[in-house]
Amino acid sequence: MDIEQLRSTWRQMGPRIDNLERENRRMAERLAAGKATTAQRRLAKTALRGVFFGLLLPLLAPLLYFYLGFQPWIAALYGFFGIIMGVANLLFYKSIVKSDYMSLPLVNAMLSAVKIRANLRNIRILGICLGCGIISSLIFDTIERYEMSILAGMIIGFVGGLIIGLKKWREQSALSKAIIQELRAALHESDSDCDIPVGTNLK
Amino acid sequence: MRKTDGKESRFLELTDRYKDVIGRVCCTYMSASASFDDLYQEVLINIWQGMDSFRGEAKISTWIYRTAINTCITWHRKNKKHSSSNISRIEDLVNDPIDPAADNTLAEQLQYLRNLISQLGAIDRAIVTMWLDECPYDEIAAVTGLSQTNVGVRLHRIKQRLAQMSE
Repeated sequence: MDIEQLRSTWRQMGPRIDNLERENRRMAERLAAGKATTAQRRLAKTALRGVFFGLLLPLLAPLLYFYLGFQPWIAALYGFFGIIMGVANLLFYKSIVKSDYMSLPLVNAMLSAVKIRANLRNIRILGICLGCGIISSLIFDTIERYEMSILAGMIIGFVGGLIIGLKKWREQSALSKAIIQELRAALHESDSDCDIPVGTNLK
Repeated sequence: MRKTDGKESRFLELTDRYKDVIGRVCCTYMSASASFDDLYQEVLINIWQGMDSFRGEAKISTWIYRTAINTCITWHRKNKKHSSSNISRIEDLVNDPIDPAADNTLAEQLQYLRNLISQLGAIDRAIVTMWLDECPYDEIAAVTGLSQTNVGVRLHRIKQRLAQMSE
């Protein structure tokens, strides 16, 4: 296969032009009507949902004390957990909305993507650690009161949530590592095993 | 006249002018989990979103390449299930075959090249795609964020690797 020869015919490869023009018009109408959104904006909406549900927990905390009979400090911790997660998600939302990494050079965009993934991973770790603490307190309080149905529900939820959270955290970490490795390889400039002399005017 | 009418006409002018570039980038990055339509649509959405904040710091073509490739890379990472790309209908990819008798060979060779390119890393894929598009080294450097020297060295290695892979 002669890649130099194929270069001259590469531009022939492409979807049919009339299809693309039709698609451009269709998308222009949808975008003007506000009917389409980017993956970045969808991630931002997920973060906003995290803000909403986080800030809902302090409102539900009194129910733990007044209706379910948990100790007041546990209800307070539950509410405080919600506030922390709400604020963390709000900061994450702001960081996504502020970053316009799509129009950056590729390596800068990849660095931004790594930062966003790191923030998402940190929120998950924070949620898992604090959430496990809260759930454990609820479990022990329930054991003392011998409320087995609530206890069973908490244990199942705790284990399930821990497994899902850790799985997602590992996925994000692996993906971030892969991006960082690729960036390192790309930014490493080598001048040894190449037949282009240093200082050659490259067109 | 609505504010969006002006934006809509600018958007159409831009996307019609660069539809081939965007189309070829999407063809390069498409896979079993990232269809051409999904990628093309997502690129157009990102162009629409980014149009207002583009202040002419770079050439329009550079900005279009960056937006298209970043979109495809981001989509690919989120939906990475298969590393190789397969085109189900070769004839959909060749616009105007020069020689009807030769077009199958040409289309097969181009598909083979595309499948080899799909096995490269995201940045290498971008470099070789832009080189095949006959972009100058300075534009490739501006799009990738690498130095021109680094682009030259990497391109040399990419060509060597593609030649080895095709043996």
